[in-house]
Amino acid sequence: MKFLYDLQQEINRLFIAGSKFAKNDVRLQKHLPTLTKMGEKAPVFKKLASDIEDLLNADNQQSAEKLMAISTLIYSILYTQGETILPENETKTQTPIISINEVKTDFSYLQLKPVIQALTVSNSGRLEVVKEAFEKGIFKDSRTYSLLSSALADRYSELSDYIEKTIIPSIGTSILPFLIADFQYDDKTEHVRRLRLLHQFGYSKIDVVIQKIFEENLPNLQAEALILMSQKAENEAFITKFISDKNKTVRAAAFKALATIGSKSSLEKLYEIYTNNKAKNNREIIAEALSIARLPFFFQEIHNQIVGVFEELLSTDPNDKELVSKRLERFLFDIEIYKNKEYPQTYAFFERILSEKKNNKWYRDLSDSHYYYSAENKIIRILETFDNQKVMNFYEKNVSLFPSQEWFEAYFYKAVSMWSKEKIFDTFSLLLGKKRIDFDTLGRGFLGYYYQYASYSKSDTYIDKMDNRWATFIYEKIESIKKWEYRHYTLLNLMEALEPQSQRFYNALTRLLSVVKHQTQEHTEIIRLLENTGFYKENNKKN
Amino acid sequence: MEISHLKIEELAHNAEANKKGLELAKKNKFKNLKISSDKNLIWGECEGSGKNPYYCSADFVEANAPVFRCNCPSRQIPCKHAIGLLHCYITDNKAFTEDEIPEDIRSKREKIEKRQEKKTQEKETIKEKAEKPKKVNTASFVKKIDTQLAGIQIAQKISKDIVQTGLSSIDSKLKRVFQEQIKELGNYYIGGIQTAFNDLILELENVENEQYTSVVNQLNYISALLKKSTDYLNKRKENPAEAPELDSAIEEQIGYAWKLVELMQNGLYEENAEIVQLSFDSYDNLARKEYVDEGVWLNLSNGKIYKTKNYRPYRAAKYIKEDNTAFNVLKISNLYIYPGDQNPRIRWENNEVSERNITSEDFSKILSFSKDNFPEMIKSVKNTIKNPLMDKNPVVLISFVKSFTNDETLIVEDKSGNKLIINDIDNSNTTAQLRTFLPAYTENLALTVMIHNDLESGLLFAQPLSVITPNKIIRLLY
Repeated sequence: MKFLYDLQQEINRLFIAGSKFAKNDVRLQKHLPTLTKMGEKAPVFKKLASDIEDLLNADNQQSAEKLMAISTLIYSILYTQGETILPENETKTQTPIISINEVKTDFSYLQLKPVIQALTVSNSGRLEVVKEAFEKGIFKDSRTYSLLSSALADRYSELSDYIEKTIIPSIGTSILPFLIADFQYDDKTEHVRRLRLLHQFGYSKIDVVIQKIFEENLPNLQAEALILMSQKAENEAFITKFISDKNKTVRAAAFKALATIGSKSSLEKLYEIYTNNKAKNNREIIAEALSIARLPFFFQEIHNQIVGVFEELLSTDPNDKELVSKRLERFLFDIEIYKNKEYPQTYAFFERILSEKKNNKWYRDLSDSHYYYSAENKIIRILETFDNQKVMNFYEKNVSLFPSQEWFEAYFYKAVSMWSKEKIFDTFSLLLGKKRIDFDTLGRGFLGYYYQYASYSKSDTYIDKMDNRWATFIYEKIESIKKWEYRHYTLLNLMEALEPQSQRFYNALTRLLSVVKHQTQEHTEIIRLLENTGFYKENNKKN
Repeated sequence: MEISHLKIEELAHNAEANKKGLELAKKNKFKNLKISSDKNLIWGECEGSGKNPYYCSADFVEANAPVFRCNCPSRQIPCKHAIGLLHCYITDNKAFTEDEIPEDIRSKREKIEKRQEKKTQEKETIKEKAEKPKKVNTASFVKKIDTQLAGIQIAQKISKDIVQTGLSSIDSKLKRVFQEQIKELGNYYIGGIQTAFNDLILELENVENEQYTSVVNQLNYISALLKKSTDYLNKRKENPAEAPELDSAIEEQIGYAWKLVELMQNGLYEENAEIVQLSFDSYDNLARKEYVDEGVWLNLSNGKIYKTKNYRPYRAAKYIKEDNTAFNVLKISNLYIYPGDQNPRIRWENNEVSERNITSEDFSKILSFSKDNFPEMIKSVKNTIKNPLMDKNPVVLISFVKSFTNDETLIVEDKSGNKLIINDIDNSNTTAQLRTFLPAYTENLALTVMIHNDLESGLLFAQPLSVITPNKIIRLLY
């Protein structure tokens, strides 16, 4: 039937050029003999031949009509000639990768549409849509699987994180085929994620995949593979090969992996690198790795070294700015190593650092100029990982050495979760003041406001830990408000938690009404609180 | 009054309206929530941006055709306030206190009842009258046909011009000329023909890689349509009393919009039909600037496959309700079937439908209707697609015993060893999805497919839309 398709192309050509060119068209004429012969067997071809002859002889006016009649006939014939199979090539059995019994498509179009949009089109509010869909169970519908696997490549990392860490694990191995199909030996983040998931789901061929990764130049994938291999101690020898890899990402992963394995031999290697390797390249990553391990071996040795680094810093000539900077940077990396190392030496050293901060002006000034990354801030974060009671003891003992507000706040938050309300009041009411505890701190500690700027956040509420005596302080503060600011909400909420219906609160609120502007959110809020006091209804309402 | 989240989603026009309604409910903007003693009417007040609250209600006296009322300025029905009211009910129906039905709602209910009675009576009389010959105003009828014929003549000229000029010579200037002429056709009661020309222009605009086959296809359609319309209209002119042609879609293709009552008059309906949805898709027709919701349905009594179509032009999309997947079997008192093709369009009235859960017996029935003999099925398909006026992509239900791949293409085989290629027509990925779970050997399994004959390659193949098993429908689209 190739002949007919050729003829169809000829007809198409005439449509493109214009039927006026059909008259005596040579190419069309060439098809006539074959067509006439075919017409001997089937009348429809005879008709086609005669129609084409007419067309070849037709003048301009009639050509259009004739051409259309021919094309209708040809196409009609072609529509009866469709072949339903391909030529026999290599055939393979159809192999499903999930069981048909597992397939679920129980969600409607309107339910799926916003989710599909969220996973494929860049827009705002997508994470919300996806989270809600997850809670509704929409991702049990297998039509979402291929989209989820693709969305691991999404640029919005919070979304791809959520998909990787929450949604996909909840689906289980049914999604494995899609992950396998989408995985490529390409050093992008999406494939690192897929590798992690393949490993998590116990993919039977994961060893083959990992082997292949090390055969090519794929630093990110190799780094991830090393981390995954650290789950089995027998991989130590293999991992060790990469501690001198030229790629920093790979080396860092090798260090971390050895730290995770945590055997004497693996830690010994790390210790060697730490003591011998003065190269700046490795300073940071070796410290990170050492911070993971508990260091049952070599802790004392490493601790001594870090103390040495600190002492060396303190004894540097202040005028040699470059050397000072270099040594400070090294010390800041090394401090991280104390994570997960809750030993008496650690506490003692921290005390020493705080004491130095208090008494040594030069060090204090130097340290302050690196505020966010200062050793003291790092120490708070390290303490958060130690035993609560021991840390409380440390805080209590060293209050006089606290170098910044953050320390007072960390002390306060811990106290709120551990002490009685009386003790909390007795201790911290004395610490109310600038650069120590302020009302925002009280708000965060008791009411659970999310503290955006620190690296830790609280979301538990401890209203029952609020001693009534706080009310007086808060009341006085409210009375001092001359101009409304957003942070004053905290004061109102604290007072509402303590004595929502007291006379003095009512008085304070009434005074505030004249401070704030009408038809603002704060105005509405104050009215609401006034209504709650119970006194308000007795008076005339304005507005 | 039974409401579920799924039901609210369906009643809402779109996901956005549903979300806004839910927000209103969550933010506690509703007051004075009341419910009638027979529990099929709820009403209440919702805070708006103005001084006075909006007064809205949801009336389920007709369980399948709820009426939503609200005095807010939005033209959407149900508005976000009514949707919010429904969400309040689902969240906490005890918040609704029993009360007497307000006067305004009561009188509105009465009006609706009267109107429906009238309609039912009308239908009864129509069914009786259907036997008797129709009285037709001959004069105006003939006048209309003459106008249509005149329009067709103009259309003939336009198509001739296009073909004589040649498709590649139609630049934007010439295109505008043709478009003006096509616009003129709108005055001759031949809207369908006019649309066919507009589609032709769109096909021409979308030509890629010098492939003009789809344009020529459309020209063939037009040429066949004009020819048949002329013959058909002349015939009707001679016999005005005779019924219109009902075994093809010619009336609609010319431009006639059937009223449901007329379909009934012409016997194009089925009483107490039970249908089940095999597949659903909503797509964006960029060329015609509209969204189309298309459902594929099976008649449980005779195995015929129908389509529902809901057109939503971009400009009006906000006001037209979106269709959705339907999981239940629908029982329809009067199912109207448009004249036409392999998969005729169907419609029904909202108050004539009830739903029931799908059972394993239904699945057995569906499976029994599947075609397990490929040559027969393909022959019947070829018989229809060879007609230039008929749908080129009919939907059929097939079953087979074996599947395998040939050069990465999926092929299925019936019990006599006849083969059929399974592939996507567009880029909807349904074949890839199917391959992930289709077993190599199958019994008791049917596939809803859309047949396509690709003229470029000469291949006839089928795109899978859904899979039917003895206990579920697996939807590859929606």
